[in-house]
Amino acid sequence: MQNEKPPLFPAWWMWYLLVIGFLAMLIILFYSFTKTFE
Amino acid sequence: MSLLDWIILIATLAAIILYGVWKSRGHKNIDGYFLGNQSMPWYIVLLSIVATQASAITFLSAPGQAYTDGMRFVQYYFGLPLAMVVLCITFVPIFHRLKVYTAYEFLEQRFDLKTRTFTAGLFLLQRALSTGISVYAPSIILSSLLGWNIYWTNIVMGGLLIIYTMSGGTRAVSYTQTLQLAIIFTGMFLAGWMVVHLLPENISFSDALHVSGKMDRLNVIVTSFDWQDKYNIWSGLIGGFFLALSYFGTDQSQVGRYLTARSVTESRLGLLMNGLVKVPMQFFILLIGALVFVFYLYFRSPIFFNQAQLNKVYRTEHGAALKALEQQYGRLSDVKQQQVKALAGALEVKDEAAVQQAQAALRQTEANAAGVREEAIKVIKQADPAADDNDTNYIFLHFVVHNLPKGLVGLLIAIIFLASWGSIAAALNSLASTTVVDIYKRMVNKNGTEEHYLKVSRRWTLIWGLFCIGVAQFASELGSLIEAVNVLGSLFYGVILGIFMVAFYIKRIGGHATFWAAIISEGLVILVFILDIVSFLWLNVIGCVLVVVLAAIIQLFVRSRPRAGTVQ
Repeated sequence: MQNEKPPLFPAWWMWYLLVIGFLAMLIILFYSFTKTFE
Repeated sequence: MSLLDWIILIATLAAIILYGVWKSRGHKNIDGYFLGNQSMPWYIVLLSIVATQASAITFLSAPGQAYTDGMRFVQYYFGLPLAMVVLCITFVPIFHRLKVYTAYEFLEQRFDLKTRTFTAGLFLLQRALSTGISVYAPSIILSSLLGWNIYWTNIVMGGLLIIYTMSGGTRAVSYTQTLQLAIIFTGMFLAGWMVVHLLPENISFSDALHVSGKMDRLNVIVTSFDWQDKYNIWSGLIGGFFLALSYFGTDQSQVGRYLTARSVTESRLGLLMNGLVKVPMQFFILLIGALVFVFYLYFRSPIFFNQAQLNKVYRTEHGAALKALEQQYGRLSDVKQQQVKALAGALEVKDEAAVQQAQAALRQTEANAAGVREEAIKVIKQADPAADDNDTNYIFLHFVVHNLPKGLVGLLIAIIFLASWGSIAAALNSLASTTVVDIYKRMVNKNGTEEHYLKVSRRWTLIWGLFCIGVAQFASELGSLIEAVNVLGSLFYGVILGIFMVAFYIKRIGGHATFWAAIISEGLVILVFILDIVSFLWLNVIGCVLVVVLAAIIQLFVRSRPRAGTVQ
């Protein structure tokens, strides 16, 4: 069961990296947003 | 409300109930009632998770929070995507493999009955009280703004959903949540579009953002650290991570959502997608509040957004004093209107010196207006000592009721009901499943038939529904209600998470040590909260760490060995 293949990527760790990377990108974007409009 | 608003409101609510009842058919056992026969695809799991977390308070309080304090509240959700990853790696495969109905069932397999029962008890206490607040929070706002009777509003808010939750169980909850979210997102998008549309003609969306930013409402990221500061990037990432891990990993109202998935893959995808969409979703809801703030710079805002409370004070000897303050506040609003136009003009021509001058002037007037508002709140408290002096939850709905066109008001009010129903229905289902699976079936009647357990499950859904309405009828004086729910959660979640952390990761620790560590930790967390040492988000971290550390220490003095081989 734990070896079920994920969709789109060959391994689950890539999905995890996507979620963490997306969060990092959002934080950078929000930081720029804050600085741009402050 | 106009007739059109009433028609839209009633038709929307009736459609959801009918849809829920239609989806309720065919349950023969508690496997279908609590797990939906584990048949849900990932997108239903995702929408169900989102709808369970996003109560009416989310849509009412969050824009108000951005209006008063800026958008930094979004940082509270930064720990959530990280928690989703941890859940997918650890919690989801174990829960699926053990084929549990509730998260607490696993604790008996790993520890013992008393630890399972204690944790289930903490959950029932916390979830039942916070669900009561979830019923009361939108009800009090609607009853204040629209003059509805609070008791009847509570009953409609917490009562009608019982019809399909009781008959249809988790499947009816999940499918109605999907439809509810579709309506909610449509309405919130329209509300956001209308805020920009209602601004003066020469003010574009970009202009509104610049004005909002100059008034500190677009402070999405705060990097400075302070233990007492609720919303900065550090408390959001660390405290928010622990809170999200506790909530999604150990709160049956969420665990019950992803246990309905047809496989580990579908559960994981639902959770990971939640990690992708939650932060942007919260950002846009808060952005609406930041834009409403700009709207009220261009147009007069009330001195206090809870109109029903103002009306009460008018009828007392303090009424004249309040009206005088309102006039003063109105004059300052007029000054602000001129100053914000000057600021927008300076921003347009990019004259930095003029921008700074206009910004300073507007901030000064805003501070003066805040001072007058403080005076008014004092008058309100003098006139009515029981009055809630926090009007954050009223801001967005006040804007909706007084500024949006006919029809859209009805839709937005329907959204408040639907958002409530989504989270309350999931909570009732989880309260019933925990009561029946962890207590009734385990300790009261072990040998019942499937039909009997199904009947008992429906009965407990009804009982918990009535209990939560009862809590709502007595709830008051809670300040910002979104915060009240989160504070209540933080008091218990950390300890519950600590128990699960020991269960998953420290196999040498047994049930006896964990049980006593949890009891001591819960006492200490409540003590830290009463002494107001740190902001509430940190209580999750403290509770969790205390359980792990104390359990490890107590284990050194306990002879009995932990149960081995149940969890890998």
